[in-house]
Amino acid sequence: MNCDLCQDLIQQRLDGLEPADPALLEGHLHDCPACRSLHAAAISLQHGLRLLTPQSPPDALTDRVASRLLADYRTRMRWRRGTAWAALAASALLMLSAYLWWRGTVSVPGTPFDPNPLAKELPRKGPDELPEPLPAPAGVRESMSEVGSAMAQVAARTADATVAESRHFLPLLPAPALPKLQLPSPPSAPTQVLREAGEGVSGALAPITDSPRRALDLFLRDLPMNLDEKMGL
Amino acid sequence: MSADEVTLVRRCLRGEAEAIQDLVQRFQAEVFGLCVRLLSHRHDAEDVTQEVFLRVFRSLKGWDPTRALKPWITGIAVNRCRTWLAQRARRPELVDYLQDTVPGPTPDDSTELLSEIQAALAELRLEYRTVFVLFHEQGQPYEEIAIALDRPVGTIKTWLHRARLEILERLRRRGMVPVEEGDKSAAVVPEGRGKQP
Repeated sequence: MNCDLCQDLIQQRLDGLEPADPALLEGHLHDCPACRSLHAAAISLQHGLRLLTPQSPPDALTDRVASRLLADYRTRMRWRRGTAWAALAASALLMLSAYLWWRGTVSVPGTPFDPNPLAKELPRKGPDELPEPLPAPAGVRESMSEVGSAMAQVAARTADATVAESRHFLPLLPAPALPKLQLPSPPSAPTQVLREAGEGVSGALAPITDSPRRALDLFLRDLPMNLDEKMGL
Repeated sequence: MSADEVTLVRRCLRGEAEAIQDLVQRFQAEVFGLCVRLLSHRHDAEDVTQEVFLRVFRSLKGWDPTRALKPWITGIAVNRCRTWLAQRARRPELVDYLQDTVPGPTPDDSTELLSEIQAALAELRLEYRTVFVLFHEQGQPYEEIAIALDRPVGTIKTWLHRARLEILERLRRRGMVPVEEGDKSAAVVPEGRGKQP
């Protein structure tokens, strides 16, 4: 038995374990003052530890803590529910935005060009109801229709101006001496030459618009009724 | 761990008021007792006890059902006390003056011994103090303390042995140990030894 072993045994006693050979320990303590002093202090400590009473919490602490925990739980649940609803609303908004964007950019192939695609979708109105203002058409389609309309208007004005000028010269032309021809219907046969001329003009302008053709037709209708007689037909 | 603890935790997670009350009642005494010893201040111990249970409640979802509840809660309590002591060191210390100024009965030897042990405890390092309180005051075995503090058992034994030696040394210096006549080595403490962690 040495001091190290003796101190180990003292620690075991403080752990609540008795040494296997107490006589050996007592023998060393008898001979070693340092270990004897340490052993005495350990006995005092054991005595003091028996007097050491656990600190009891105040009576109201349990209720106070439990209330705090319950309040915290309810707050967290409320926050969690609110977050879930907000996430749902945000998702719905995102989906709606995506759908509206898709509607605006997608063009369906094979459908005829319609400068006012939304007109068909508007509900029918009664005779007394004021028509609703048309909603703004989609971006690309709107641009194309505007360009076509502008070009048609320019071509129509040009054709109208040309036909209007040529009308002035017709009464001054001498009537050609032509043999009497037995022509079948239509009654407007004498004007066929002019019609073909007009069709030629409109045919040249056809790729752009059909309004010159309409303008020529109007011109032919406006011709004086006794022209046939003047032409000897 | 026990099936009873698992059931209790599940009920707490569902927000049952009775289960929450039960959880607090089960572990409050030990948590509070530990906090008082570590913080040496009852008022602080009450606040920290509340914080401990709040932390426990919020972390219940992450509790491993294969582990016992008590060491887990003890570990949280020790960590909260450590944090509190660090914060207290940075602000003016509020001393519980009431204990010092109220005159009490003339202390006898037992009372004096007790106050010397408590004073010696307050001077220990936090780790040594924690292990000493858990072992001697709360009766927890080495293995349970090791789980609570997340340390090997050997480390826990070393800390406890060193804590005892420091307390014994203080008791001897303060004259709380009967000295034999002619024993010149009574004040000599064997060189601090302990198993290395």
